Amino acid sequence: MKEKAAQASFPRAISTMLGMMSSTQATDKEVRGMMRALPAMSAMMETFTLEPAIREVALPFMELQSSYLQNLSNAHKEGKKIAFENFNFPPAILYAMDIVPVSPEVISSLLSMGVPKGIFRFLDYTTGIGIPESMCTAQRGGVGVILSGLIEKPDMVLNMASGSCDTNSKMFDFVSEYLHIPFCNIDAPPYWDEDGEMMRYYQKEYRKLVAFLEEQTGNKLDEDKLRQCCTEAKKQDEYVAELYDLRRAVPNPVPAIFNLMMFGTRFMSSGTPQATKVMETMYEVAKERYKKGEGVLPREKARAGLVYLSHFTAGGEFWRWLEHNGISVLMEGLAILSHQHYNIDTSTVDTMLDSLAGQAHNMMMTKQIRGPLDYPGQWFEDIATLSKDLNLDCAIYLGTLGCKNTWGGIKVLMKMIEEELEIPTLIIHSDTWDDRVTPWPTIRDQLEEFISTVVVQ
Amino acid sequence: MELMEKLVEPAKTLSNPYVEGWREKGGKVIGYAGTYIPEEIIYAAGILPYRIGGREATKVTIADMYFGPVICNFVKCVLENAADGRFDFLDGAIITYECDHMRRIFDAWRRAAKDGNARLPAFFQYYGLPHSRSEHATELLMTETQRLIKEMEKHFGVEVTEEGLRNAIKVYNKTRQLLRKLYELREKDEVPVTGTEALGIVVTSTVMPKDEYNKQLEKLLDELGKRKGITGRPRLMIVGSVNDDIELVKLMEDLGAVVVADSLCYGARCFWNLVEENGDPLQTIVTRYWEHIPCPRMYGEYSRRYSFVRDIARSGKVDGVILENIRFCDLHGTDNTLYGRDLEADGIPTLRLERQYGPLADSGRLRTRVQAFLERIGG
Repeated sequence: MKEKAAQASFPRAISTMLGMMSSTQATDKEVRGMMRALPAMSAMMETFTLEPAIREVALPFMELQSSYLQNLSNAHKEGKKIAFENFNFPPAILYAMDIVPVSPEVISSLLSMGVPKGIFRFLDYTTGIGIPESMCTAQRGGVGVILSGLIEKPDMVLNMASGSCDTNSKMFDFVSEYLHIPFCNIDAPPYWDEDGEMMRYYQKEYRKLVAFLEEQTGNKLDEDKLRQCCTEAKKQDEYVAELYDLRRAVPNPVPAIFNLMMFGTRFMSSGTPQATKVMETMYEVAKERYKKGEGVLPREKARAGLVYLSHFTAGGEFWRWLEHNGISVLMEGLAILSHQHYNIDTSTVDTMLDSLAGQAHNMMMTKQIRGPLDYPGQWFEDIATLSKDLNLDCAIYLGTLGCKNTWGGIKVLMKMIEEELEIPTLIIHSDTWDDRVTPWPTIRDQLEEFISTVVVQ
Repeated sequence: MELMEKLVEPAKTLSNPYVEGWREKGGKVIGYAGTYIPEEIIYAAGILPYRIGGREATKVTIADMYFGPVICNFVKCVLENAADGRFDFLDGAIITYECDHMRRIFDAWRRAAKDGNARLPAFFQYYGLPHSRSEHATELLMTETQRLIKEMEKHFGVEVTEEGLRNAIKVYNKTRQLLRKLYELREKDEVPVTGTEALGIVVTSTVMPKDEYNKQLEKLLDELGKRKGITGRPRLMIVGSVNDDIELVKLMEDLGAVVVADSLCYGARCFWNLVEENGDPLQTIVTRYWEHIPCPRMYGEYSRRYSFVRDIARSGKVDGVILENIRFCDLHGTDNTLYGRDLEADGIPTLRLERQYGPLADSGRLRTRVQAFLERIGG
């Protein structure tokens, strides 16, 4: 009974907090007052609510997060199944089948940004039950929340990291075995192609997923619901493409924190009208700036590309600090390909499923790091395209210690970037979700030194 | 040289008299990594398949220039060996996506060669692998294997024929059957072969011509049938990350144990399953590699892996299982958590042992941990 109450109250508590923040139409003065009253959360509130243009997007974004958690909290009461899925799993298909998604990476990120000491105790919990501490913190945090009973046990495990990340996939494999929950592996093929043999392989994997979901829910996929979700996903993709185009402008009119809100929205809620609202607001805010010829920064000292992750602790100070220091963040690994328009075809069930498979096949991580660095459509080619298109001045790597795939290739990749794209690079040894590896102030110092001595001379 | 020595010594070094003899006769050698590359296709091309390993490396200075800090030392040692010229005898190499560490050798080795820090074999290929079994995954693997054969034929001016493949299947199945016999001897109450010797014999099977190997192993098995067996020692099984270093097993046995079984990729998992001799030979080869006792890289396959581990532990009458993983090897490290839970529930004591790969840098710690485990299981 106690456990049930905890399971319901944890996501609800965070949801309520986010709901309160999003529903407030507070003035700047009132926001500052709230920051003084809640010092532990002041950094996050500063990131999302002090700047009016950002606040305009942050409010629907927080509402969306609140609903995500509320749905999770109510799922079993409403007779819905919960699917444990990865961040790179576009959830539109789940919404079309009335399945509630929960992604450990989303939970880890929410806690890392919003709560002091973030996911530390949940990381320790997973280590305590025997999960190697070298596994990725992005999953360990969220898995710790679930295994410690703060969120209801999911009904199925869907792994879409297969082929791009072993540590992520292994965690999903583990959760399925540990909790005795049915498992579906959606495997990305070993190379990338847009419409050839590899894509056909992935389409078959996607059909396997749909059959699995039908089996688990006992419901057939409803064409009309699928079309509604695909229509929303299509609008979202169009906004993402438009936002990408706006980033090409000098000065850049798209704030760095929009990257986080963009990929966060897609990871949690692609295919829902709420997600479309966030994306639309984001686009309108940035377009308005562009029309006026305004940039986020009055003068860009440098245009930076983050070749993989950013840093999620310290209430999102990472993005604020970069902009405060004249750095525009044009590219982030998690949003790296979001400019692509996937052309979701809503004509028939088959075209919709193939389109969603295409979207998933192109998701960040799934696409770029599945094969050798210099193969077509892989990490280097994507960065090279974006670097030229967005006129980048430098490339920076931050990751997690769990990410063996990127740590296995990053030194070679950075050499390629320096030689072939002729821009300076920086590799920071840190962990996006765990400040105990390298505290944010140390990361900040390394960034400052790199920017001031290498990038801006 | 005694038969046992002949089959264990090559496991201690990278090059060996068999490889040298092969090359002196003008033979070509292709290195490969892991247990998913169908060796038979290389053999059928008249080329010696050679499994590349990390033994002999005593530093990872060059490897650290190309890999980040959280990469498995086995993989780093492989690259270091390439940098130190220990793989200069290779005419080709095939790197596969066995895990996120291993696959990046394909990028790192090429880059090290570009920087003048290693020699890259003239034939250097990547072999892509899916991660879950299905009809379309087998089809994809078949296409990938056919591509690899074409590249090999073009580069080396050879031909892989149906007859050649059928012959390769026979020779390789023979090796597997002989190794199964060796492992059956290890199940006896009086064990005629140590775990150190058994590992050496398996490692050697991956670095010498199979025809010659089969002849020698057959003779050795006859000898072992007459050898006085070991009794009265705690019987151990080893499960976990890749290990081509016989010193690790020796360390355990020097403490009074005898290692009688394993589930390792230089061990039972690499030879347990046979290739079906009827049917299209390429298809049956591909199917065998795809369906063999899975590495933890295959997702949704834990129950198959566990059944294998438990059955081998039981038939080996083991007193305890050592669940080892190389530092940063998440695939084995995570599976070991589940093995620990399930083996203990099945009444089999376990020891979790995270270790560093290399010339036993942390041998003191390992010795203490194993010694304590032996005390726990009454050794």
